[in-house]
Amino acid sequence: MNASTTGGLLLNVSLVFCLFSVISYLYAWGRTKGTLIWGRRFYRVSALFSIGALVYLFYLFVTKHYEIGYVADYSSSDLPFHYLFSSLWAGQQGSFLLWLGLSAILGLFMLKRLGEYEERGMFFYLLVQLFLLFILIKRSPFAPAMEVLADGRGLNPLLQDFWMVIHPPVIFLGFAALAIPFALAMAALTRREYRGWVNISFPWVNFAWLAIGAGIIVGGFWAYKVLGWGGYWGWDPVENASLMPFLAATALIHGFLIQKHKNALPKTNFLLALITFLLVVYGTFLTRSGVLADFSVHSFTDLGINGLLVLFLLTFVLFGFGMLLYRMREIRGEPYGKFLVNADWSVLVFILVMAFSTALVLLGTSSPLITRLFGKAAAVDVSYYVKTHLPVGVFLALLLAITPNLPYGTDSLYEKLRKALWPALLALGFAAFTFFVGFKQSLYPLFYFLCFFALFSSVFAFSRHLAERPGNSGGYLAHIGVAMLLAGFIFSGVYSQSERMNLRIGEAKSAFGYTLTYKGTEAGAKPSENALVFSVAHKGKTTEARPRFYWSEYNQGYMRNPAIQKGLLYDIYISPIDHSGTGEKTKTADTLILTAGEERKVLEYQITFLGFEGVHMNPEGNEFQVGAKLSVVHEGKKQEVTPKLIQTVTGALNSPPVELPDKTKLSLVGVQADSRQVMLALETLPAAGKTADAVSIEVSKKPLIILVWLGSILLLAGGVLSTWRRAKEQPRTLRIGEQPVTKEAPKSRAAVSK
Amino acid sequence: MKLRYVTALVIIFGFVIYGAISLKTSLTPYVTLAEAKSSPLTVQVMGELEKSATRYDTTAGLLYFTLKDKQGELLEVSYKGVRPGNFDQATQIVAVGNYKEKVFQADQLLVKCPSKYQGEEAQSYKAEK
Repeated sequence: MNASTTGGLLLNVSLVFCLFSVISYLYAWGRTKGTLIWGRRFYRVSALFSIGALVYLFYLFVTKHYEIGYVADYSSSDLPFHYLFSSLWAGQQGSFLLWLGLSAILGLFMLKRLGEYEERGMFFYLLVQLFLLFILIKRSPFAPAMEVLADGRGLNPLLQDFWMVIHPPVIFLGFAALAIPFALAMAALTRREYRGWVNISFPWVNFAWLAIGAGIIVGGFWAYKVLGWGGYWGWDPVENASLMPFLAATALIHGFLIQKHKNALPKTNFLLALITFLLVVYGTFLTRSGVLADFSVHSFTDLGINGLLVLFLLTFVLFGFGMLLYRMREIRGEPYGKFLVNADWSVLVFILVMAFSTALVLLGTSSPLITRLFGKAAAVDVSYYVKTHLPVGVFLALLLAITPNLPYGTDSLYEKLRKALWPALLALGFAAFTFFVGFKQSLYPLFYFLCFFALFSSVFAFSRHLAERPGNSGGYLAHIGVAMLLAGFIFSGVYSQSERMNLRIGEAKSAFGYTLTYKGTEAGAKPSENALVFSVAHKGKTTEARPRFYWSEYNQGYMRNPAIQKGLLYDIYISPIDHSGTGEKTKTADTLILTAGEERKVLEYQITFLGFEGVHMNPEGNEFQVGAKLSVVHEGKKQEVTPKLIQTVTGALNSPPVELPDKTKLSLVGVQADSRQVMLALETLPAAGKTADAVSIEVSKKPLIILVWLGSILLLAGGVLSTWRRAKEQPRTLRIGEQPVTKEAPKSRAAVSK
Repeated sequence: MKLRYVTALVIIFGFVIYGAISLKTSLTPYVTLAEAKSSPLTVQVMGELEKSATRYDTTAGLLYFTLKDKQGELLEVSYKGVRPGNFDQATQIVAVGNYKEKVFQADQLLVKCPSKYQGEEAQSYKAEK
């Protein structure tokens, strides 16, 4: 049996058992418990085959099965072993398989933790796996290659990075986990039991949030370090596709918090749980269907799975919203009570802000689709997101600044003022200092004052909680992270400065107090390690910076990796723009079209097309040959050349080049006899020493970007702590036949803790 | 109770207006090269790269190139920024910007390349200012 068949078989067997499991679980709804056992057994087999398919694909990569199209497209024999993981999920099919595999693993973990929700929860959860399996069988990663190559095509060098090895699995782990609250919400709606699902879902939502957050941050770090355009976030549709579920999940976590403590907002939480997962599906549709191919960097093109994706999306939208509407009237929670300036209301406002932010990103990302309904498709530019998220950021900082100082439930003005005093004063001091150091410009000082206020309020709240209930302090730690992130966005974004400079070899120029001297190039062991070497002098200390600049055969283009001089107060970011004159791989190529008698200047050559030089057939009569008579003037010297275009017996076109002075090759690549036009191609290999070795670079100073990374780490650390806590709180595993222990929501306000 | 609904409606209504206005003002419609020349707005154009006309002004840090569409219309584009990695192999280029002083001043480029080295995935590379 060949590899392609084996892979396909694994997927098909998994599909069959997945169907059996779904049917068993459906049969178990409110009926005999015996079928439940079968649901589990079938599921385990199905999961085993799904995971097996993923492992098998990896095995095919390791054993270099280039007869499999996917393996040949994303790897080659010289690729180091650890990057084969990147290869595994570099493409569309592989990432779907990764999603399936992770979903299968999570399913095995949660299977026995669902208690009374198992049969319905698993039923809905497995629908997602069914869809993934359908997609994978339609467009299999195990499909044989169109043409069998001796070696694979290799992996995009941009993806050959440690962070790109871990970024996709982390994101997909989050996507897979978000199906759990969705499935449980659906189960709860069908069971007409609107409370218990929150406790079971809570750790999973927290976990999914953590995974997507970590994935987004890793992606941002990679963009900053490798891509060289100076930023960590570009509001690209593919980035937005993971940001939307992240924002919605943040809202959901806070909604769960309210439902746990106040038993309020049950409908909102159902809505949020459905939307969060639907955003995952919608994002998948946007980025995988090819609808955004003209608008996005890393969007995939159409693979003929659009129908399935639309079906996937519609099924879940209709199922989800339909079910919620159907049950809407009987879902009752405690009323929220009169509006008070207290923590409960603050959290509610926060949920609203998150919903608002999600909706704005959704609107922007969908703009090509929305505008297509009214006419020509158009996308929003990045300024849309910046503009709309400025108020969101301000609101967020304001909420973070005030909320930790507010009591739950009560409305005592004294308490509010007392707790807010120190954070406010400290923030004022810091903001004043920052202002006088030089960070001015319109209203931004007000914004960073709010961020500092938010930071200190969160730090105070965190330390209070750490002393009293250390297990519950994860949320506050995350809040400290958010405040830092917001401040980091302002400083590294708004106050970033950059300067462009051109340097010849040996030349030195200064920017931001740094003197850069261009030392020349240095060839690495691999082309991707070719570096431009600079010495960077600052306050008497000299270091070296090596941004990379190299030709990538894979991408057929020049790749640029920045060099970053990291600092506590700011980063100096050096990104190469252009490099000329070393003669190694810097070919200049040009094509031009000339009509008979026309004269054009291209590169350093004055070329005139004099006319065709006879059409020849060789004696056998099936080889065809045409020449173009050209006069070429170069540095005052004139010569005549006649490049030829030959069509061989097989129909293949051959353009043997003619040599021009100064290492240039000229060839005739196309002929249009009726309009008397020829197409010429010129290729010059610049002679070493002819043009000076010179670079063009952009040097940027990014103040306090460290806050972005530090904030990210704290945000994730907070996420880890709260996921741990929610997992411990999760109701005990229930075995079949046991009565579920219903936990009463705490009645007294005093027992309420965040 | 009624106040709650009114508040909710006001918030939702406010949001819809806000979202619609922000969206409308930031949209960059796809237009033909001819339309781009007469539009004062930020627009998006797509065309084939006329390879012979590409030049790089190192002192100003500006990349100049010419796009040609199916109607044969030509448009000179300037771009201040890093020349996208696969620019030289581009078959089609999407540029976002506006037409000023007889040049289309792009602040964003999206380069579409022939998928010579990759199976089905079209390659594109976006560069931002």
